[in-house]
Amino acid sequence: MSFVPAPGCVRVILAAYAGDGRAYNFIWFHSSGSWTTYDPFLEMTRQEYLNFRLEEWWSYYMTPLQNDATRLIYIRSRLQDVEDRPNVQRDVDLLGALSGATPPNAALVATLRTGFTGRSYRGRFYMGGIPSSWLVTGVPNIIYDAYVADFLDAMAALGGLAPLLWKHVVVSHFADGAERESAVISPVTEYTANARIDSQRRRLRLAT
Amino acid sequence: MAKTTVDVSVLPADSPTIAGVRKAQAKAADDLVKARNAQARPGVKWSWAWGSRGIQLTVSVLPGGPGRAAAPEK
Repeated sequence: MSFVPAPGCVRVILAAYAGDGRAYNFIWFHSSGSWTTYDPFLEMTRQEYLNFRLEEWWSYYMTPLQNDATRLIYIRSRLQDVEDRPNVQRDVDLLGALSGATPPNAALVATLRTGFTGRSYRGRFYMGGIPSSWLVTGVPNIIYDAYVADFLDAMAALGGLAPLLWKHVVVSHFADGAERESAVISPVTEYTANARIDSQRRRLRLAT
Repeated sequence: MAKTTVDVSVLPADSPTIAGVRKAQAKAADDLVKARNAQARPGVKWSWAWGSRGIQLTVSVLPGGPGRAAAPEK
């Protein structure tokens, strides 16, 4: 698979310890301004600021939702305009606040929608680290709706982290099975989730 | 975060019919969405719908403003 440029986009990897393995989340942001120019107001580059705000976001919104076997360890972003851009990494140590672990591949999934139909314009965000204390008693694989709502609240906050600086986007690299010359970028306008626990087997395969 | 009494994801055991169950779930979803909309941040709107996996919650965020990505091509 060759590199498909996504001009103006940064891909962020959120890496967490989950039980004995690691779990990774990939999220994408687009900015019409420069990601790499030093901003005297921010006192860092926009890319570094994104990592900084994502740490804040995870700390405020996600750690209260996660079990204490899950720990975010780094946030790594990389520009996607050309190949071989350097990673900008922020090492963190954010432990989930709730007791009772579920299997590391058990996840709630949010569907990201953009207002356009078709697979190229939808995305997903998998959140692992679900605490067993929020599973509905006696019903397998169902979690309380208040938890789902708080998860969606976190996703909406992710979309609104710094709307004047960047947008949370869905990026499509393929069309009808063939690689695009340039990725198609669509801002996320809706986050949807249900109360069923899902799993993403790829998360386990990626574990190292 | 409080576990709601009648949860949209749980079938009430005392409900005699499927219709009764769905009605209870719909009411719980309505209540949840109203409560969330009452305290939502500006530009954020909550809604719910029946999906293939039961009730699905949606939170919409307003797009636009400087820095918005280009509209997708076909």
